[in-house]
Amino acid sequence: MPTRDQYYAETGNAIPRGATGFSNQHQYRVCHPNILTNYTPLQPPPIGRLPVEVLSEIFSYLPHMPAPGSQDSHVNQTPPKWAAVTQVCHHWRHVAYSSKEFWRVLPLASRAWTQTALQRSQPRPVVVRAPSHVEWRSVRRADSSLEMALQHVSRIQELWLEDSEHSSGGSGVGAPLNALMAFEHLAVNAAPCLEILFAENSECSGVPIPSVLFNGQYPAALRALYLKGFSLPPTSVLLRSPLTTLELESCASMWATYEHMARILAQMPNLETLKLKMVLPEASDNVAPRVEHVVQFPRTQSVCLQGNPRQIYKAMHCISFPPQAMLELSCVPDGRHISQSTGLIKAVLRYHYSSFINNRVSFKNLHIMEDLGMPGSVELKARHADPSGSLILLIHPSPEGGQPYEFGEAAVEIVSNVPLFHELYYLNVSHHAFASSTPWFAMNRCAPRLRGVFVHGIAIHGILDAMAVQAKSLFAKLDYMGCDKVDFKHRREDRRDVFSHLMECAETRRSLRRGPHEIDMTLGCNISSGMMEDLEEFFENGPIVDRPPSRHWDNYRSKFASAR
Amino acid sequence: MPTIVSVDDSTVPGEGSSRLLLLVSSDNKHIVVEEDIMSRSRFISKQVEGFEATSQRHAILLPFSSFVLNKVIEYCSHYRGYYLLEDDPDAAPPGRSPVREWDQEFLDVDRNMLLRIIKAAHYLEIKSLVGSCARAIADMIRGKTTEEMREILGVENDFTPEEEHSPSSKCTG
Repeated sequence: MPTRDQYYAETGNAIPRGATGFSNQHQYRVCHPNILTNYTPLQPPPIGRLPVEVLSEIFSYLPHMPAPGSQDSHVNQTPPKWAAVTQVCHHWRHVAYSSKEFWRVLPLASRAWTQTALQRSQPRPVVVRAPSHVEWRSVRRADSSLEMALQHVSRIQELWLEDSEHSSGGSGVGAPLNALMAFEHLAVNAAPCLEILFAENSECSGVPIPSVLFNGQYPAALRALYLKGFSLPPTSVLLRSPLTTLELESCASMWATYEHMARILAQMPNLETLKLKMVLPEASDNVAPRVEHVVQFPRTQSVCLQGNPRQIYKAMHCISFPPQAMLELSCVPDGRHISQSTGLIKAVLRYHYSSFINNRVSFKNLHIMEDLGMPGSVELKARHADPSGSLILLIHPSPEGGQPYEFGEAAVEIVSNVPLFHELYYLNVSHHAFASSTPWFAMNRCAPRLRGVFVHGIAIHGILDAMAVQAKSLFAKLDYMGCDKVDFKHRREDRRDVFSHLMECAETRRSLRRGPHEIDMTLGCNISSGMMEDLEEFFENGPIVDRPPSRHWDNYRSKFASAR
Repeated sequence: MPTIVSVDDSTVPGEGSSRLLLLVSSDNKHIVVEEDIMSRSRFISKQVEGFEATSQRHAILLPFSSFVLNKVIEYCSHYRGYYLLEDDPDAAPPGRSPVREWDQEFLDVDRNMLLRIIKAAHYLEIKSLVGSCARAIADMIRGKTTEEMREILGVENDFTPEEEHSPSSKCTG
């Protein structure tokens, strides 16, 4: 028996006026006998009878979605896949034809389709997505369709000139012909609707963008600018727009100095996203640029800088953004000096990190290992906050390998040089970094407020001797400071033996001395006799020997004695 | 036009400062919800304004089941107090921003349910929910052939063979 809901789903009608609710199905049937007798339970779902506005909204998303398995569904297909909705039924066709939004993304498969879309979407602004290069298969279609679309520059809201995977395939020209054609049109026509300009050219860099665009008029609507592989004059009107997104990559002759760059960026106070990749001015020294004012970006949510450490160092002196913003620094080594990366970190953190709250700074591809004369790269993610914050060091070995101790040295280099540890409360060290002895030294020096340590990694035989020695120092410090959380975890469960017992012993003693603490230690590892002696000495003579050892400690001692 | 059923004040809980609404679903379930939660619905807001004008308390009778209504209330509860650009009548139409993660999970339902939710959202004038549902449905049919679309959404082909294959329908319509 159909329910009222099924009925309404079928008919799409509202409840008739005067209805006051029905206590049961019988009462409803009495009121509307005709409706229920005509109901067919197996009738297909009623999408065809969705309100026109709803169906139109559904259709409006289709042109913006690439077809499954295709990155470029708009240019090379005749007709475009999304146009299939016009062939489903009369209702769908009517809705699709009457929806201006549906035709806003111009299909460039043929001039006929482009013309149709231009007419049906009128007077709405349109979206043009085209390859930046002329493809040999579509050279007779797409470029002419694009030319037709570009004749309506005044209606273009988004212009995407993308590198497609086929772009290098056939023309042999190598130049972004479509992009050049587009910029020619933009040069002589005003584009009052243009909000997004995306131009990508990965084949040949330095293709010039005309210095005069939009027939000399100001692009008031332009909000997002993405350019890759073009040459943009710093005086371009594009850079004087009230942009919220600026992403530039491999663009030549952008700006000569950092002071110049700062002056240009200062014209975009509303930036929410800033990405400058391989466009930073040359940096021949480590001297901070003398900018009149640091450029403030109060609304910025994401910043990405790519260049060599000196370039990033200088760029970071020019800009300032909120502590909530994501910061991604991607370093490209220039091979001139060692330890530039640590210098970079110092610089960045000195100027910005102290004010970050609940923020994550990500240094990608940081070739600190090369700086130190060792293979490998380092990724440092720092998270800092009030007492609940933590700092995470991730040390990833390079594919070429490298000794764990060397990675530890890299971590030391970072830890011992970064002043942020003055406000460090929790430290989380992953992978091989903890295997080195010296981070603990560094912490002793630099982390007066340390409250907890989290170590996740793999202890490797041969380096624990050094670690044991430093464990004494570490625990002395932790105990002195009253650390309430120590978390050692080890992945090799089968090696959980002596050292874990030592840790538990330490936990027991600390609990007795300072009250309840949250300590989780599950470290297991190989251990050498020299290390055991060190540890024994540590627990016998160290700073926390004023309580009887736990049963684990007794077990350890008996095993140790029998082993000897 | 919805039906508004006059009810006895005693049947509406939340008399006074709590500002509760009584919604009656098509299966005659009475659902009490805070007015604040449903303020995302322009339809409900208009009804409430009408109540205030007449100083009469009413239940609002809605043409969809309690199951669908509860889903809508769940959505509104999740975004309670949040500003969503799509629901702002004064804001410019939002662009094609990525779908919200929570919405994706929320709308991970079968197609019939999805259609009922979008109809309910349209009825209640919750633009953000209509947009999310529309995107989910569009995702179901994107890249599909005409036949596949008919099959997926159960749409009957009412074209004559001539209409279906006429050259005019291919491009210019």
